[in-house]
Amino acid sequence: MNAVRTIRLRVQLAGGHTHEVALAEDAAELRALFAALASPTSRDLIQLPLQEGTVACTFRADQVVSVISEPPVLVQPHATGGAQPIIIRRAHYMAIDDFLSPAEHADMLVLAVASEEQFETGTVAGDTAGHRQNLVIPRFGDSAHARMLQNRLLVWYPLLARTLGVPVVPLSGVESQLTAARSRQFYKVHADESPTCPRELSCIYYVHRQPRGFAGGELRLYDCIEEDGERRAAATFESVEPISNRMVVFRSAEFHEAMPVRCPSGEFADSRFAVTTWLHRAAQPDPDTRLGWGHFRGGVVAPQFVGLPVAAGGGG
Amino acid sequence: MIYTVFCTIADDAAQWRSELLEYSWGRVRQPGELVRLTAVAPGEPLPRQRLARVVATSCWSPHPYTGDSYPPYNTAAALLEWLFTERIDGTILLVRPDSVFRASVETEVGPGQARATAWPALPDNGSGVSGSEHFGLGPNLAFLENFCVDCRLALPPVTLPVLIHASDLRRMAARWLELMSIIRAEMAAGVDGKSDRVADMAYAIAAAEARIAHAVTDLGVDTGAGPSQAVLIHYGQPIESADGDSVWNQHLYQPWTSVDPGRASSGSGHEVLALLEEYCARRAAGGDHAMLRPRRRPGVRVGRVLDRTLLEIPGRSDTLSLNPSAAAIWELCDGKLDLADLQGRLENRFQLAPGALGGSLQSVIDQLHNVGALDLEPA
Repeated sequence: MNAVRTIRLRVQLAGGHTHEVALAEDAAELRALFAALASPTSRDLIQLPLQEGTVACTFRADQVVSVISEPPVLVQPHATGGAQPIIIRRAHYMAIDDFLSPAEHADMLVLAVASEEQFETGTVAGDTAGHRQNLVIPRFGDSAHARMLQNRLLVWYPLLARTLGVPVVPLSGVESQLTAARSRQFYKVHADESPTCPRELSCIYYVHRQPRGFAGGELRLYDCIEEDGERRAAATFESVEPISNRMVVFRSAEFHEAMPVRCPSGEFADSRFAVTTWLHRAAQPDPDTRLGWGHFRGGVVAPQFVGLPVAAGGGG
Repeated sequence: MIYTVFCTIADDAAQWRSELLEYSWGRVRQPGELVRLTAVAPGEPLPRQRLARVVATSCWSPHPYTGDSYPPYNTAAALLEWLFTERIDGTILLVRPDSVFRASVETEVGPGQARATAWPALPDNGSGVSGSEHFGLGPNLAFLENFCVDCRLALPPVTLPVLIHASDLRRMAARWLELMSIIRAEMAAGVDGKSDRVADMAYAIAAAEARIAHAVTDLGVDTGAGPSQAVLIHYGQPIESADGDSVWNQHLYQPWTSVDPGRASSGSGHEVLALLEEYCARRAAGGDHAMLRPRRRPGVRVGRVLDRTLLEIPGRSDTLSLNPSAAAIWELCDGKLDLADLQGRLENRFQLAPGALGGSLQSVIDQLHNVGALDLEPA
């Protein structure tokens, strides 16, 4: 899970005074500082905790001259008035290591390597040239290996939803792809959800040979700018290593990118393999929807998960 | 750090079992933390415990996808949720809620060093024998071939209580829960076979698949079994007399009615009833605090002005003023006397009738504990 980051700030005030402070990225003081920069006429008071909270520094909002943040906190003023800042919403994810048992994991690798001839070039809706270069087995979801992953994911699903800060929803189906990223292959920034594709959660299971025959291939999860009903990827991101037998789960609406792979051997077996599974939310509950191995009816939400409190701010 | 963990729901029967387990845990001075994972519905109040930390977990019985009611789902699901959410690191002593300590477990285990109680009844010849079909569980469980990559693994013939590193339990908890669901669903679908001990079978398979070896050790014993040095006693079966009559049955027990340990035939059954009788007596004498010894918290500064006793408590900006009665209680809180002892001494000192101080004494102790002036330690 990605934890709440600590942001180191250097706050410059009118008259040349500076203060250094570390704040949690969701701290109200952080928001107040950037609001002050965006509203230079505000005479509200801002109070910063200094020296581990033993000292407080209080000043008027209109005294803030600049704020240097590390890591960067991006703030964009509204185009309309310039009064309200937009704090970027952070992408949340969960990484589950040792997701499958050693034998299941080994079996998945054997299958991926042995399926070389079934892979085809991955495509992107809208034919965005140069956006995606990798290989894919698109109808992987019917295989026993995909069902094994799907079934295990369904066991995790209520916990995943709660930790990611989303409600448990009725599912209409589960979709799986097996992908292989060879040397110089990548998938540029995109989100998996679209108005026509009701994907709720994206779940990427990594598998590769040991020792790893490639470099790169990290998953980047981008912070998101939400403005005037539009969403776009921010420049800031968190990087997740594609460790074999690791499952990474995030909301399908999150912007993400698979970084280019460098594979010196050029062998297919040294590719970065991944099984991507998407949980689809149902428009209407359907008690007959059976998922995974077929035992699980995921088309309705069990009473104990209806209205379940979700982690504040997404938990991640 | 050893986490003693047990999983329950939040009903009255679970409450008295939890209290008795908690009392025995404190009585043997088991090191570490006692954690009660409690499956509750959203908004359902959490039960209270004196020594155990109570953690709310999601309810998995009935199963959210199959509707099957089977309480062990709650155990695996609660562990999965707790281990993942709190990122627990250390040794887990996983015990049944209907068990009691007779001695403490002092040894921690690392990853790959799990120990557990023997389960001699593991079906067929699966016990530790690799290469058998269907994990050696017999043809009734042949359906496992469809859901397991390698059904020739040797199963560890073990059951709870288990001593296991948190990282190992974290690796297998989801599979344990999944396997229970599969086995129960397949058996309900018409596969002929016994469905009891499904939780144990699923645990053994999940452990074998995760390659977590379990050394068999003398951790737990059932009340009906012979002599044992096990540190925990499980009272899942009725306790019988020498004549074979049922002397005591947990499912019929009304808390906290008196019991007669002398009628139990077995040593361990006798021990459980003696412990229960002891706890009933302490509970009657000292109410909710029967198992606790209050101790003045280190760092609290004491001053006196006229007849008032003033306490400066670290972390509090105000000063607490005690009247003479509260001060008399405070001075006796040395960590050696439990509440019943305190009550007796104070009633003698002030020449009060036995029992006259019960409620007010408990109230003062609660208040002093709540403001951080006292620690409550297991008696």
